[in-house]
Amino acid sequence: MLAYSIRRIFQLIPVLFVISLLVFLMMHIIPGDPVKNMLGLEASKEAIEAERERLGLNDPLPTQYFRFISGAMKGDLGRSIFTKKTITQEILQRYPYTVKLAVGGTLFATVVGVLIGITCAVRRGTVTDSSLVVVSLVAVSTPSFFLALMMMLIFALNLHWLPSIGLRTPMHYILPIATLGMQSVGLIARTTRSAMLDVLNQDYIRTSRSRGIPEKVIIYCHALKNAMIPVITVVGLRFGGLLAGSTLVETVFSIPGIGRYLVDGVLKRDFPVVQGTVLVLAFSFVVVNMIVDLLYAVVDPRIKYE
Amino acid sequence: MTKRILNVENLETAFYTDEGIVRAVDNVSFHLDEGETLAIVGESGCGKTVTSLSVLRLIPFPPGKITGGHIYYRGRDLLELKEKEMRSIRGNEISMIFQEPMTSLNPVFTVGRQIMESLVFHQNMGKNDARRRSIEMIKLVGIPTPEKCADYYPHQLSGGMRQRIMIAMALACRPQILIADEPTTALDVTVQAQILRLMTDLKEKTDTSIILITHDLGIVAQIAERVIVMYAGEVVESAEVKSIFSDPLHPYTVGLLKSLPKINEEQEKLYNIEGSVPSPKNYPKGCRFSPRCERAFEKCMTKKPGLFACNGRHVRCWLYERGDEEGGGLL
Amino acid sequence: MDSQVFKRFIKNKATIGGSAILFLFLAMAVLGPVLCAYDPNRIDLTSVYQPPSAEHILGTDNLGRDTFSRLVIGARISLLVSFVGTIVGSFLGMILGVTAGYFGGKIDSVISRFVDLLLAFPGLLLAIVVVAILGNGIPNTMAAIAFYSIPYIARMVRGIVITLKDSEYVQACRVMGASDSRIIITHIIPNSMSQIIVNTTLNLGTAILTASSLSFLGLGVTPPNPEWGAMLSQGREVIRYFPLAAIVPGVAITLVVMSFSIVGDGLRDALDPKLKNN
Repeated sequence: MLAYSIRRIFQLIPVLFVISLLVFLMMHIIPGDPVKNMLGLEASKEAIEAERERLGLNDPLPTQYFRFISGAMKGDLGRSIFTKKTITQEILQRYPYTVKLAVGGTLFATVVGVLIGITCAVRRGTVTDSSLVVVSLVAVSTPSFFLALMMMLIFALNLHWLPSIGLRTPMHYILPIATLGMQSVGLIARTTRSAMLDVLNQDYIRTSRSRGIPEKVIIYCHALKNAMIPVITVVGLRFGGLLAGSTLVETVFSIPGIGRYLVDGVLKRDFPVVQGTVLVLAFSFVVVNMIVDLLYAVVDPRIKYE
Repeated sequence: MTKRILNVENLETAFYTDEGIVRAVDNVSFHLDEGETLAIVGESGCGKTVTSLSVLRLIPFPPGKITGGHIYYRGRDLLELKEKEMRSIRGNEISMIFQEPMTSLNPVFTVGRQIMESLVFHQNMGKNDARRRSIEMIKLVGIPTPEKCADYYPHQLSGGMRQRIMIAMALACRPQILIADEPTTALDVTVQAQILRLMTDLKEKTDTSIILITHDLGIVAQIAERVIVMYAGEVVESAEVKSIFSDPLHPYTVGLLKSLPKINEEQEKLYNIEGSVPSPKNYPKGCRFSPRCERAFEKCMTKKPGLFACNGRHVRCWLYERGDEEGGGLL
Repeated sequence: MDSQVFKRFIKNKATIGGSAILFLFLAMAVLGPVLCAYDPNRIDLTSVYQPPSAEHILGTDNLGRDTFSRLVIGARISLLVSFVGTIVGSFLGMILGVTAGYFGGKIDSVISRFVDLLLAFPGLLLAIVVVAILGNGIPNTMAAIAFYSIPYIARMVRGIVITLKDSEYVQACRVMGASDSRIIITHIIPNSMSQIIVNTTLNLGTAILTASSLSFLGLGVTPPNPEWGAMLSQGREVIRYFPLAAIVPGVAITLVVMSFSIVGDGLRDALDPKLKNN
């Protein structure tokens, strides 16, 4: 298992390399000159040229990429064109907020979604099942930013139960995490439901019943462990989705996370900021995917560690 | 004097499907004595498996439901028990092994853990005791390295090994009755023989009664003492194993025996019962076998035969009407 | 769609409801200006934040613009953006998928790697990156939607093509000397069409969500265009005083997204009834 994990981590290196190259290239096919953009329309040709020279934008692409990647490996993602602040520091400040939201949202979605999915599967065809299926459908379809606004309107502005914006106290986390997780609740519930229905029809569940194992143990232990295999895939995918989706929730609740930083970077065409945040987010997804792969091996003994 | 351990009376199990009610088991009665091996024989779809699942009350509801009859196990009617009481009988006093060893073990737990589980639930054993006993059981079913095997996952074992584990699991709590549903059908011929030998050996050792469900008359001849033949959800004949082979009464039983290949006779072509088992949604009006029966006459088409006693045996056929008709419960 | 499929499709009550809602919004988008009593961008500062009335059935916004008219024109923009984006994306995805599945070998491994890489990233991030490269506006939002739909369709089509390629009737065509392009056009594509349609329908819902998310962030369709996400973004600023401005476009997005997913599921069940029992 340990050897397998280490090998998986080493396999990441070429993937990360390809991603960094893609991110770099993407940012260099952006139409328009970011420097011209930054200095304004009335800037002289000479001033623009001098600024380009200073930023190293006149060097050949391989040189620029080498500078970017060697900087990134040392933890230096350059400076923002506009604020001149170091991007690494800005990201380090903001990243924890986003990660906390995404982790919280994923946990929320997983716990609620799996419970709903199991309930539906066990009571298949009943009123409980069909009403929970409808609830999941509405949850999947409601845009998180709309849900966020409505929750804020109800729980913060009208009922005054919870604070509306920022992330200062633990209470501040409740609304953003719930709204961020809600969309995934539906998806996870659906996946759990169909996986459980599939597993509950398997021969080995009949074997467990024939051995007089209590139904609760069969459902929550024997069946659930098997049903978790497809659910883990969805949870892993959703965690990535929530990292990106927190952009929206951060906007609604005025949270200074990395998602908002990315959007502001795109809006201002601050390409080093976009490049840095996309790179950090992309790395995060790759790492999450790897963790999901490792989790499979924990849940499913049929996966060999070779 | 042998003691009667299980008495099934007029069992009826139906499935409620979109296309209508399917009476998979219709008024079936049989009994099992202590230490006896009873075979239930018939083509696929005749209700053998549903009968055995009904005994353990494992019919999935919906769509299935036991709609009538009694199942007396040591004097208690299993159909009257609460679910919790029933659970303490399953796997503890009556256990079952299934046809498909490849899919009947949970893939995400080690086999040792799966055997232990029954012991922990039914015998209140501690983990260590349960593990020790599981390893004993694995040894008992003839697996050479029991300690190692206990930590294997099902996918690491062959089909024959898995079926041995299933038997170990079923016998772990020393049940009174073992129901074996086509235990060897999915296995290679050589492995089949080993598993059968294992079952007969263990039966001698533990004095367990066995209900063997099979379509293979060869197996019946090897290990069963008494046979009931089922056709289209009903018992059509019941007899000692010797008399079934030497003197089959029901035309269906005759057909089944004729379709067995014989080593000592040269045969051009294997016998084959014409037609197929009628759909339970649409049984023939009279005798259910009449459309396929070579000896059917007018009465067979219109009136359903009862079970007639004949030389200490029972047969559901108008050809044997001269005997007294008896209720199924008196078998 | 043969009559059997159609019968199964209309047998499901939820599907009928979903189709009805979609039809309503589609009609709104097609009829557009005919339904609008006002110019959606007409500013009337004498009647801002009006609650629903006979004059303005869904009230007015911060600039006194008629919310219903904006919703109708918004339907036009939102549906158009996601339809064009998704269909272009499905088409490109189909080409990639067929190429990878049919020709296999090196081409397949290059395309599959690329598709897997894209699938590892959430759609919204891909869309944001496309906007970062191209800039905002209606055509670029369409491009963003198309780009993130490609990998899903490509992977699905590749799977279908690989199974079809080895099927007996395709083998038979090859024996009879049919060319690759003929086999692809007359056999492979028609046979994968039903699944492509189902998945495209399901993707349409996600596309509306993504497009409105982009606009909500200010990255997609920009004001004063009454795209639903952009309307919500404006509504957000006055949520405390005038929640209706956010509720109207929010409910519209939710209804349309939900209907697409109901209709998509209904189509799948109708086209492949075997799947329904799971």
